[in-house]
Amino acid sequence: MKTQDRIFYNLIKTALHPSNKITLSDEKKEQILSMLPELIYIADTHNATPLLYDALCSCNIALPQTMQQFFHKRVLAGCYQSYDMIAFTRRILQVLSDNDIVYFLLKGLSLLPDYPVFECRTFSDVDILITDSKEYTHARKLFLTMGFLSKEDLVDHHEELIFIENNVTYTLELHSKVINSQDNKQINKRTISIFQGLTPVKAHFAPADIYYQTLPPTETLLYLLLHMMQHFVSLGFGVKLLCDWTIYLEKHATEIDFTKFENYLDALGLFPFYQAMTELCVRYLGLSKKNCPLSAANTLPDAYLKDLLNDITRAGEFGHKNQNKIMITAKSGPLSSFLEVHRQMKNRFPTLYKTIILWPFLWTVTILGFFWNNRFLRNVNTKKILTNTRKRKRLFKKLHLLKKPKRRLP
Amino acid sequence: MKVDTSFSLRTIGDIHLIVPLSKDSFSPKNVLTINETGAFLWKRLCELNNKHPREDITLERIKKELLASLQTIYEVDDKTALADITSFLKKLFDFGAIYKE
Repeated sequence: MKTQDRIFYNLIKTALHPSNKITLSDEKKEQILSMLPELIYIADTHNATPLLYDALCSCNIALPQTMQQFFHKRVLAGCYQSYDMIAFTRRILQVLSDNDIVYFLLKGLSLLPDYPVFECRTFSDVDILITDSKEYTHARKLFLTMGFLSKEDLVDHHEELIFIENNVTYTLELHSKVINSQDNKQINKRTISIFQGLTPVKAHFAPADIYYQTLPPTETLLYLLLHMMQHFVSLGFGVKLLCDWTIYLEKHATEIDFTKFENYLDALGLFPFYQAMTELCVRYLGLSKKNCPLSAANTLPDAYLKDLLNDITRAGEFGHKNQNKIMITAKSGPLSSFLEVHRQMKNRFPTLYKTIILWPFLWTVTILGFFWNNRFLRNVNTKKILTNTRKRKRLFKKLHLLKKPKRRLP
Repeated sequence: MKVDTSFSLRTIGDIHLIVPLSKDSFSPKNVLTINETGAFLWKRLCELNNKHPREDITLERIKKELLASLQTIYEVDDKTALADITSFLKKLFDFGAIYKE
């Protein structure tokens, strides 16, 4: 683990736990100052600059004036974006409640009340889950009538609706399911059935006086894990999702039904992933063990966890920094690669794929599109991507991700 | 004078902002950046407002109370402190965070 990574995680841990005051020696402060450019780079790629700055201030690190000005500019821009998104969220929620639509606000604003300083948790879109198909269609229509535009996307769990106002583009992700379809049908089916028919929990974001509906705590925890898993098998995810995991477990551990949660994990084959993520948060972000009763101590080797954390650190927010990655499938070999191409084809051509006779043509376009995007958009070598994928697959093996779960959903 | 309760003080590191978070729309123009002393005065002003929710506190009384509070933590003479307080209150008034009833 690189020194700057270790320092970065220690600082993030401090920002997440302001009550655990730490006093740094002058030598430590000097070391942090000497590594500021590297720390800023990591924070920047993870959209976590406000968290880093908050930690630097609480550790009483005297920054050079130019650095301070740089941070002020960045943090203020982050704050403006947060306040703007809060105002946008308020408008979305108003439309839904005025029309009596049962919805669940996912992440975004619903996580802000748990953070010590909510501006440190940046967000750039609003995610709304509507499980009832009639209500989903109704909500979609309402937003389109209001001037929202549908944006084409390669996923099947939400539709991206954008709204442009004063030259700012706002994104609303209208979810019909919590995550994109994975290549295990059983997991997909079970995930849908867990979230179908849930009764929303009412919550309040006091600083902006916003009332909203969200998932019950046990299902929120599951959603956070599924969301991490979805990004992990795709391009990866960044430190923000680990922070969400730490903060949510710390604030809501007493409200979570861990027996039910364990059943969910078993039914979805997510227990090893849960343990790995929790262990990472315990070791590197200061999550207290008492808030995660299901995790057994030291189940994963230190070197493995370091590799995992390295994958997260290098990924940047949602893997955008690592272009040498592609979606990982549960099995390896030509058949699984072919199935992945087929899945990508379905996502890329949601209407055309229904005509079977077109499949050979659509497969070809999908494969050529992959090479084209690597060469001209991502500017990376396809061979390098495949090598990196093999490396990541080894990392995945221990997490048993996307494998057939043993137990049924009770 | 009253404090508009839709405005709140937000602190991120050493950055202090007064933001109308409960308002329906947002524009960066709706954010007032203040320093540490400003944050201290705002907190004191909110305390006064909460202590006397139904009372319209006069500007003179506010200034007097803020002056006393300021001098408990900063070594500053009456004239300089009053000038700073007056300028701060004017900023808040122009910003809409405080208003005359």
